[in-house]
Amino acid sequence: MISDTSLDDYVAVTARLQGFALDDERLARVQAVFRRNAGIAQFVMTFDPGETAEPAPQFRP
Amino acid sequence: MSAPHRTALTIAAAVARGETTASAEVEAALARIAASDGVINAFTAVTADRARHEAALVDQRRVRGDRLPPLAGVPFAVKNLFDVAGLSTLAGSRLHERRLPAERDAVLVARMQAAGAVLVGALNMDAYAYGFTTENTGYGPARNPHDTARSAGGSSGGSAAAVAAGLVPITLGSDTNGSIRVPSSLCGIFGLKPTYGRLSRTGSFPFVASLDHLGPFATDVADLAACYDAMQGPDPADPACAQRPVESARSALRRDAGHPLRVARLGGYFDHWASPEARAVSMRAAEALGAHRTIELPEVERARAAAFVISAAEGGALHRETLQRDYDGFEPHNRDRFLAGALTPANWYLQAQKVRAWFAEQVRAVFADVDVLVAPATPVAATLLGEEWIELGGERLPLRPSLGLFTQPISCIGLPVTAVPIASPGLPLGVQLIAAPWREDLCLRAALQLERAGVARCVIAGG
Repeated sequence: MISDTSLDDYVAVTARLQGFALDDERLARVQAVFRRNAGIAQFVMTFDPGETAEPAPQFRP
Repeated sequence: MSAPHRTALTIAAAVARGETTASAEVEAALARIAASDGVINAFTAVTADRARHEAALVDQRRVRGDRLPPLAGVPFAVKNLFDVAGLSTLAGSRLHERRLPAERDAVLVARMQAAGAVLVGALNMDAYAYGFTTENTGYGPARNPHDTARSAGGSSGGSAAAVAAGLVPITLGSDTNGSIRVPSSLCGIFGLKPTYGRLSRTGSFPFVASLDHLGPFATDVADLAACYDAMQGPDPADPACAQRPVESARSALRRDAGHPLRVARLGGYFDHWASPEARAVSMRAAEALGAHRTIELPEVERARAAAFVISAAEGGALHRETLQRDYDGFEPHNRDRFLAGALTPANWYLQAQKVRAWFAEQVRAVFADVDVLVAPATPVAATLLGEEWIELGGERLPLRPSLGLFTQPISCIGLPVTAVPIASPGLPLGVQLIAAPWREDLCLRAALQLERAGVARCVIAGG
C-alpha cells in the first residue's frame, strides 16, 4: 500500500509538472480526491486479467 | 387542466392525417414549457423561432401532399452537449457561453430533423456530464417532476425531466456511466443506451471518448424504437461509430414482439447494493419476463472500478487546459475530480482498459444461453436535492457516485440497455434490460413485453 504522504507528494509534483498553479487549499482538495482514486485504482491494479486482455486502440464491444 | 399526454408516434400519425398540424403541436409544447419549466428547470434554451419555422415546413409538405417522415411534427429537445446550429454548446458549463455558436447541428439532431421531428430546445445537465444528479451550479438543478424537492438524476437530468413532466414526448441524452439510465429510473420514463459505437457522436461534446454513448428518452417503447431507428446509420466522422447498416428496431418488434426470450436476473453484487425497493422491481420485471435463473457476473465491482479510472483519466485529460486557465469558473462539483483525474498514471488507465476487455469477454459468454439480463437501474428512487450520503448494503456511501452502482459496470463494456420504469406505488424506479452487443432488438422486445403486461409503465407527472 502506498502511503498517503507519497500520494500527496506525487500530486503536488505532477500537478506542478502539468502547469497547475494550486494554492494550498486547492492542492489539499485535489490530494484528497486523488487518494480516493488511488484506492479504487489499487482494486483494478491487483487483478490479473491474463495475457490476452490487451487494451485495444479503439474499444469494440 | 392540461391536455392528456400523447406519444410521439400518436402526434406524428395525427399530423399525417391532418387532424392537427406540426405548428399547433409546437405551439402547445412551447406553451407547456413556458407554464412548467420555471419550476422543473429542464431547459437551458428554447429555440422557439427555429421550431416555428421547421414546423411550418412540415405543414407545407403535408399541404403539398408529400409523404411525411415517421416523426413529422413531433417536438423534441436535446441535452445541451449536442451541437445546435446558432447556439453555443454548453455541455452544462457557464464557461462554454463564451464559445462560438455551433455552425451546424449534431448528426443525431440532423437525423431527427430529417425524420420530421422539430427541435424546441436544449436541456440542463450536470456540468460536462460528470455527475448523476444534475445539481448544476451555473444553471440550477433539474427538478424531478414527480417531487420537485428531489433530483431528476443525471447527468441527462433535463432530458428525463422534460419527458416526465410531459413538456415534450422525446428527448436525447448521453450515457457514459449511466447518464441515460439513472435519470430514466428516477423520473419513471423509458430510455435506451444503445451498443457502444451504434449511434454517431459527431457534433456532441465528449466526456470520456472510449465510454460515451448517445440515446433517446421516451414515454413508451414504440417511441423509443422509432427515435432509435431515425438516428441509426454509420458516420465516418466518428471513429467509434460502427459501419453497420440500419437494423430497424420497429420492424424487429413488429415481427418478433411475442416471441419468448431467455431471461436471467442479475444477483450477487446487484442484490447486495440494491435497496429493498430496487430489488423488488428487478424481481418483478424478471418474473414477468419468465426468468427462472439468477446469475452472478464475475468481478462486477472491479469492472465498475475500471470504468471509474477510465472516466477520471480521459475526462481529466480532456479538461486539463481549461482547468489550468479557468479553475475558478469551472463547476465546483467536479473541478477537483477532473483535476485529480488529469494526474492519473498511465499504468492505472491501461490496466483499467485490460480489466474492461477481460470483463467484456466474461459477459459475452453469458449471452450464449441468455437473451436478456435484468438488473435494477438505480439502487434507490430519487433522493432529495443536496443530499450527500446514502445507506446501502449496510454501509454509508457517498450518494452521487453511488447512483451509478448498477449502470457503470454495464456501460463499461458497451452493452445495449433499455431502462424501463416499473409500475409501483411511490416514487418511480426502473430496471435495466441488458442484451448482447448489437442486439438492441432484444432489450427493446423485453421492454415491450413488460409494457404489454402492464408491468412497465411511464407516468407523466400531473398527467
